Amino acid sequence: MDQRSKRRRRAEPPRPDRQIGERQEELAAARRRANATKVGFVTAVAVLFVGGMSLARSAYAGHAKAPIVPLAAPGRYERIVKKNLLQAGVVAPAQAPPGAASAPS
Amino acid sequence: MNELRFEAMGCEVVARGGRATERADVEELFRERDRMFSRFIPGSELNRVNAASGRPTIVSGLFAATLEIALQAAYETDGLVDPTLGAALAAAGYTRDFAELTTDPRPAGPASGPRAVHLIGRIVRMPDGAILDLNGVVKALAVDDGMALLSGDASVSAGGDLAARGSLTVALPGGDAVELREGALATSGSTKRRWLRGGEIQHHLIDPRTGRPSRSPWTEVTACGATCVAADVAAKSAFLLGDAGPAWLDAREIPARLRRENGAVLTNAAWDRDLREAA
Repeated sequence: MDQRSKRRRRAEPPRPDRQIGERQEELAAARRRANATKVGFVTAVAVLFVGGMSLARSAYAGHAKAPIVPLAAPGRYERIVKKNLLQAGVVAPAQAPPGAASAPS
Repeated sequence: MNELRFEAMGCEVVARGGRATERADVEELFRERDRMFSRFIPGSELNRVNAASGRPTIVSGLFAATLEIALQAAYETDGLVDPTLGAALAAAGYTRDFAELTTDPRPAGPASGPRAVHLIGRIVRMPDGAILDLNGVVKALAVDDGMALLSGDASVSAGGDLAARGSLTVALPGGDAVELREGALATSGSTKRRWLRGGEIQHHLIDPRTGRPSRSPWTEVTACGATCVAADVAAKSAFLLGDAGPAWLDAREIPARLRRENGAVLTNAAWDRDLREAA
């Protein structure tokens, strides 16, 4: 035993067993908290990594992630714009005897 | 050309051309539409929807599609051809099949104007008391859909509404005739479906601005559209617009022929241009 250790042993008051026990419990609790923090941290990193990868895969512009559709206005919008109920037909002078009649019904 | 004649929707329907099975399909189509859209068949889907006015109702796909076309017609005619004038028709006395209508000494009921209808997908919601009458659109649409069932040169005619594939000469009110080159012809007027109520002549073409049968200067308006629905909507609109009708049709380049009470016939610029270019 060196001189320094001897001096420290003389300076420290004698510890009762109860204090030693408390100290060990505190250490065990601290270890548990540290472990839980480590597990939580690793889990969070893993979740963030997987989530980030998924988002990157779905959002990254370089790859087609779904069947490719041409850029176009939505079908419903297109139908409404194109729809023109009142379109004209074509009539001409009669060339033959009537085969049908149009009258108020 | 082979043809099939039958009565449906209160008028004679004639399907010409195509195969016999196709013509039978046309008849079945008209019967189905009649069952679905008649105001005079108690169990029709139209009556079920009318009975549920004031609350949302789920309708069949065909009903929704037909109502959408009727609403589109109302939109494109600025509300002139409106599907919600059923209450006005009932007030004028058109409460049963036309063949069963008799003179009624009671005065006509209160006038009734258009009502707001909401159609989202297959859900219809109308204000309480609103009554749909889709008859005009339904008949013309049945003609268009019936035509699609017939192969080759063919035609379908229902009352005044007529569509043809391949040219067809058509007799017009008052004695003239014209060749229908493309599309359909429809005639709307007040000379056929008219009756007496409260000592006044009533008819089925309701003016949405008054909620009463129109006092149009025309007795018959014949219009030529790309489809029978187009022709029918155009003819009704011009009839209801009165003297402004020909210009309204010309703005849309729809050929039309309009006939007055005294028999005088007026054709619009689009009609004259078609005849001139074809000659």
